[in-house]
Amino acid sequence: MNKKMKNVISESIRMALLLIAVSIIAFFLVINSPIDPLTSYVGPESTLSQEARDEIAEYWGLYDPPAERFMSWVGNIVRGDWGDSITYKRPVKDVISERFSYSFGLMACTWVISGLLGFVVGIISGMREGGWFDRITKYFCLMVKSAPTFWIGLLVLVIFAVELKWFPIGMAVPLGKPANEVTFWDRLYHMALPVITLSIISMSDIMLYTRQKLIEIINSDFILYARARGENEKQIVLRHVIRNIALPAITVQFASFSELFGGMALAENVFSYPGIGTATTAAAVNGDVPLLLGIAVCSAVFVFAGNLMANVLYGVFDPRIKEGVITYEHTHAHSH
Amino acid sequence: MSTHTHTHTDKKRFEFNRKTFVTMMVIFAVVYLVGVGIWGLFMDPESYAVNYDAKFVSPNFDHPFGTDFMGRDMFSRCIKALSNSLIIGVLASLFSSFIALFMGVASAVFGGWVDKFVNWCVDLCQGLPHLVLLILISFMLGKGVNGVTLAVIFTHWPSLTRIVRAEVMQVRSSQYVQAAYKMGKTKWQVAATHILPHVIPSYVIGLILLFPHAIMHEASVTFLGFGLPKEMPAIGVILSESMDYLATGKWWLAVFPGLMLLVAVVLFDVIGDNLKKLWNPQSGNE
Amino acid sequence: MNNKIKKILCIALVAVMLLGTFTGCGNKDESKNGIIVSAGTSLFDDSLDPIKGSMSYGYPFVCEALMMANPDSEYVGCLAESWDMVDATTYRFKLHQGIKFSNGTDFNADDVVFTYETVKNNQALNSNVDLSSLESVTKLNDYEVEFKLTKPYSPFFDVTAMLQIVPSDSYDSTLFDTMPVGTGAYKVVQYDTNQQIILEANENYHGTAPDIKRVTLVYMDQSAAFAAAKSGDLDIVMVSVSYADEKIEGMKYVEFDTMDVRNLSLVTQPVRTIKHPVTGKDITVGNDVTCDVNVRKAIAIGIDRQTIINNALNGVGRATENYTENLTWTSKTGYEDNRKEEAKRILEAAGWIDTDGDGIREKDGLRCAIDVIAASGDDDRYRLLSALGEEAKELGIEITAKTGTWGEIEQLQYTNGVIWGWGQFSPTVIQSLYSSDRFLVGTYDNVGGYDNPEVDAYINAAITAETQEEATKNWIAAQDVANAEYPYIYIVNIRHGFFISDRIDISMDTQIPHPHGHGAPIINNMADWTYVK
Repeated sequence: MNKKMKNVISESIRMALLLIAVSIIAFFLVINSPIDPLTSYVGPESTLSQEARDEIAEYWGLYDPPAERFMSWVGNIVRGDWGDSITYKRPVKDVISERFSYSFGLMACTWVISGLLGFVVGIISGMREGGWFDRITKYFCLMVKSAPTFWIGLLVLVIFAVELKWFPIGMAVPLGKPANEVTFWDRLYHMALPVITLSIISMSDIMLYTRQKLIEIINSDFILYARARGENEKQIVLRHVIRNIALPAITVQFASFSELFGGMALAENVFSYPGIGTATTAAAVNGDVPLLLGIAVCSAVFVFAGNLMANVLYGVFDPRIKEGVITYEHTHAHSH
Repeated sequence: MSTHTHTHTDKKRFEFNRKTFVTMMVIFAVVYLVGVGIWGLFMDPESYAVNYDAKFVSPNFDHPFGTDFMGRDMFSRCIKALSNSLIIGVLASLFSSFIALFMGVASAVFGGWVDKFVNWCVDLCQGLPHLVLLILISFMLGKGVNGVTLAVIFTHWPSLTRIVRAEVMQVRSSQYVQAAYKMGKTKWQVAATHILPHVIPSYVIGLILLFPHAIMHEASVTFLGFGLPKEMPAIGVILSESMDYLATGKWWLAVFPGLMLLVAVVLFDVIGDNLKKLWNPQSGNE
Repeated sequence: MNNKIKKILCIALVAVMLLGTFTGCGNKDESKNGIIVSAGTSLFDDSLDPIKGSMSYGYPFVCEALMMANPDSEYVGCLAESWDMVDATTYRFKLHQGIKFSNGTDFNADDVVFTYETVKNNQALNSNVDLSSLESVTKLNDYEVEFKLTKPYSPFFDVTAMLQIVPSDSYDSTLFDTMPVGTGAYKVVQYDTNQQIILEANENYHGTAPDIKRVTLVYMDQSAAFAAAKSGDLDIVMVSVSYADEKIEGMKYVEFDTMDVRNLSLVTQPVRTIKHPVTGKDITVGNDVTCDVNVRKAIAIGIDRQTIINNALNGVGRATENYTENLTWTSKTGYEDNRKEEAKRILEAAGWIDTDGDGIREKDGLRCAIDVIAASGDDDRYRLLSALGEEAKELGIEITAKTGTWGEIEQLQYTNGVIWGWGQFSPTVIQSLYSSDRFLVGTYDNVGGYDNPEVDAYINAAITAETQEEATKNWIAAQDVANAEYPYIYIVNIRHGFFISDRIDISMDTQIPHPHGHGAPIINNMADWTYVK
């Protein structure tokens, strides 16, 4: 147990260091954009006076050397001042927390649904390897993995919202309904299409992974032994298979946060969903440096949290992994 | 699973057929992709030029994929777009794979802090969501062809680096490599003469499986408006334009370009997976 | 096992169906949720605070101005009951009595004085209303104010229609960005950034209470908005004219006359590096192709505007060679276009000849090729630009169509062509477009660096004119002289297309000619809209 705790702690420290490095990289990527730093702080259409501009430039140290700028930026962040978003004319912190709250629901639903569905379908098709269900789901998943997220989103939108009119075209809440009248069901209903799109896409990874693992285990000696002992299929699945696959599968799900975020950004843009993904593209379109930086750091934290969970789970439950690094390449197979 | 017993010759014929089939698949896929790439490269821009007399023609014999709001033939435009994507994707993957090869070999051969550093870089690169990193890099470089190509190059090496590293680790401990060290060869000499040749097959397969990622990501970034410019035929551009007409029943504007991209990605996977089988018949499971 | 699969599938199916069915109930509660309007996204881009230049297109919204435009493009009183020009620099306004702001406080001369003084003291915050010529604003009594100008400034009447009045005792610079308080027919009850603005009828409104009690303005892309309209979620949706032939059940397609023009700016200076007058940094300006007036003229007279409109805008819009014809102060001097042969002769005489046979002319090794940028996000402009390029190609001039964000355009506008959209009641736009001292100073002003002392003199004379007639004469003279040198090539006076639900009457009789689409001009008479009974 001690050793495990130690692992967790050293993992956390490593992640914290990485996070700092990621913010440095994000910072230099953003400030090196061709857009004038001052313009990117006050917006291209700002009619602020020269004095006001100078004040802003000085406050944010826009013309200081990059290293100094970074330090003052970090200093401000630590003090809780993330700056103001040009796009939304509000403090970056407010924008991110509001947008993330929308996206979080989206991602949580997707994560759970795609995980459960992928796992169950993976088990079923693995048990019937080569059967019609296995063939159909396998090719479906391979196909979905090869299609761009936004294209699938477009097709889903046209079919279910435009043609069948089962779901709304976009947005997170019903149009024209004041915030205090919006119900939980309204939100869920508006979330449905993006969640369906993302779940279909994210499901394929976990399904193929589960199926693969299941086939490996089914063909392993101890299952042969269990069969020989007279256990039936149900017992085998419940006693051995699920126990052996569930945790690695959850780990894979946690490690997919990066792809989940990317997919969500695309889906939000297709479904005009006011989450962090549409905020990212809006920020980049408008050269909104403060917001872009805030989003970069937050999304990095998000991904790190997922990876940390994955690494911890892996370290705790899979004694075969000695090095702190996991190799889950094949689960990363396709990422859009 | 099969309990049938094959005679020796049967088995051989079966394997021979399977091998031929797999080879044929690979050849077909390569011919298709190279064909599209070259066709697009040398295509006369007139074939997808503006023709206002033929706006929004639904698919027919003259225009298999229909035409768009400027009367441009979507079939030619898609071929050109896919060709652009293929060329950018292949270029970006190649450069990305060079980074991966160098990092992976160096990491495994030198070990120690080099290994730690490479691993750290890999984790770093995977620390930001892929799409966010792509957007940030492309944004910094002023978008356009350069922006998106470099963004893809700098974001796609980590997974291949890990594959190369793992592969080198295996070879490293083999006897003949140890023998080569004993003969007084330097680490770089050993890497170049003994290790590299062994890594090449997995490297090439990894590279081929990298293409679809690169192409898909290019299309995604372009779709969001941070990649190829609107005036250049690109799948991402075409699909984002199709958004304008999704409620007006112009289905061909979205369906065919997406299918073209999907087929290209599937074919790259076919090549990669089948090469894997040809070179390493033991890995039966896909 | 099989049973289990079935069970799971059943549960999944039921879940999906449930999601699908509770769409039916409670979605269309007409009177309660009011109407939902998508009139473009620009309304969301800027503050709603009049002090910062919000809604300065000359029609009431949440707040109202002293004056407003009527359907004949004339100014009539809004908060002002009567007005009087005492002399060239003194204006007096008598205010309506008994008007209340939506928060219940009374409107009087103090609010007018407060509003004008706040803008004057914070001019940097407001790029739409220019009060630099205002010397003082004085309260004569509770319902009478007097404006003193430093010098005669003929566009002052426009200013009084553009600047909407805020309450002096409850003005809050931050709050008013999203929730302004005014005297208009509606008040903001909810503001969701880049999503929706929910308006409700102001119970203190001084006019007839509006029939429609709640209006929601939504932020949607045109394509998404059109799709949403098609599925019955929207009541009014502004669409690109490329949707003109589409049909939506329960809605009709309506087009509005506008003063909204699209023109192409061409840089009139040769390439050189100069010091930026504001930032002091070196900046490259100029374009060696379009600095030749012959190239500009060849494009202007050689292109066929009607063909461009047919190809790019579905044939909707009026070809124009000058600023809109809907206003008194615009030049009406047009010329015949599509004179391709004459245009080619002009180019050849100027030395632009196609020597390498690629269809594009050259002069001293310089190709007659330019990049023109259209704002990304406005596909009609891109289509217009592409169609323009096809016309120019016939003349041997290559126009490469590009798109860029406004931030990018700002950097490219001094060296490349740009497609612009303009449309407002105030003639000061002519000053922005042509006055040589606006070059590099106003963000999007005179980007071509056009410099003609004669034009400057006319503009100056128009601004300082003591009567409106004199001002109008000089504005027109300035345009006539400038247009002969083609720093801008006017292409089309567009029309705004909308799909409007059959259950709403938007009172076409009281609609004013629509200014630039960015101001969501359909809302100009929102208080008059009614449900069709």
